Amino acid sequence: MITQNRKAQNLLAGTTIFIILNVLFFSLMLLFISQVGSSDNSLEKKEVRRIALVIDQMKSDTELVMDISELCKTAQKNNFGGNIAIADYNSGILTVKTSNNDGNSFKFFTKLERGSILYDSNKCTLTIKTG
Amino acid sequence: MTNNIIKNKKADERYLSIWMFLNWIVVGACIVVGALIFLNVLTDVRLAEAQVLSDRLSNCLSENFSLEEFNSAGFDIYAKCGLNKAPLENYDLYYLNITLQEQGSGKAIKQILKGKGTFEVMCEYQLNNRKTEQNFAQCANNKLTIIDEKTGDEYGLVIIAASNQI
Repeated sequence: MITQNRKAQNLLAGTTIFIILNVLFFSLMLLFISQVGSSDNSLEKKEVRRIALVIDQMKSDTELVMDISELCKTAQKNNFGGNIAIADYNSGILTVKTSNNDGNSFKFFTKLERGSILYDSNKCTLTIKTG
Repeated sequence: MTNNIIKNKKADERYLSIWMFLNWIVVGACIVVGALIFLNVLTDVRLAEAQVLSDRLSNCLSENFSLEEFNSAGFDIYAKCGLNKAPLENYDLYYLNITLQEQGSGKAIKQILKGKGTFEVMCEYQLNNRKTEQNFAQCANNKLTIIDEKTGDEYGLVIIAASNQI
């Protein structure tokens, strides 16, 4: 009788541990997916591509103001006060960064003059001018 | 017999626990790899970029087209279309193939090739078979008829652009 109860106790403990471990495992997986999807890095990666494609689609002698408030919010959250969008006009490389890390870079093939991409930190906008 | 069943049951439970951890490792690895692949697909803009480049060249060349200018030795496609030479030629990420043809016969008058030449085969394969290979550079093509502003003659213009910027 005592042995049977012990077995039942062991079974119950084993099942409980199994369920707890399962819940823990799937919670970790969900946390990982949500972190990967909403990380600063993926936002930078997405936004740098969006801005570069907009630059490449622009016609000459055009001025465009882009709203980059999502990037601004992330930069504020990371206490980053620097330039969010930096362009290397000679190499055609656009870098978007919302923290003190290296940021995310993407190449654009439109010929732009120096100072054609201006970041306004007060309005959270990016002004792009093509020559 | 009864003893045997009990023994097997115990063994089964022990092996199941190992299997359980192995299963978690496999499931975990699949979720991690799947999430990363999914995110990379979401940020893959190669086809859009190739299409933008192809459209840009089409618009630029069809506007005020002059065969004399296009055929001249000093014709610079980058200057003409406001393109930056550095990213298009220095990083092996892009490919351009512009062919001007005689209308009707289709005989090539002039061909301009820029960027990474090996993308030509990838583009030919994908465009001819009308399918997309994710491991290849992504290609876009435009075929149009352009008119010489001075003479009024018509020409065929075939543009193939490729991007492999991930």
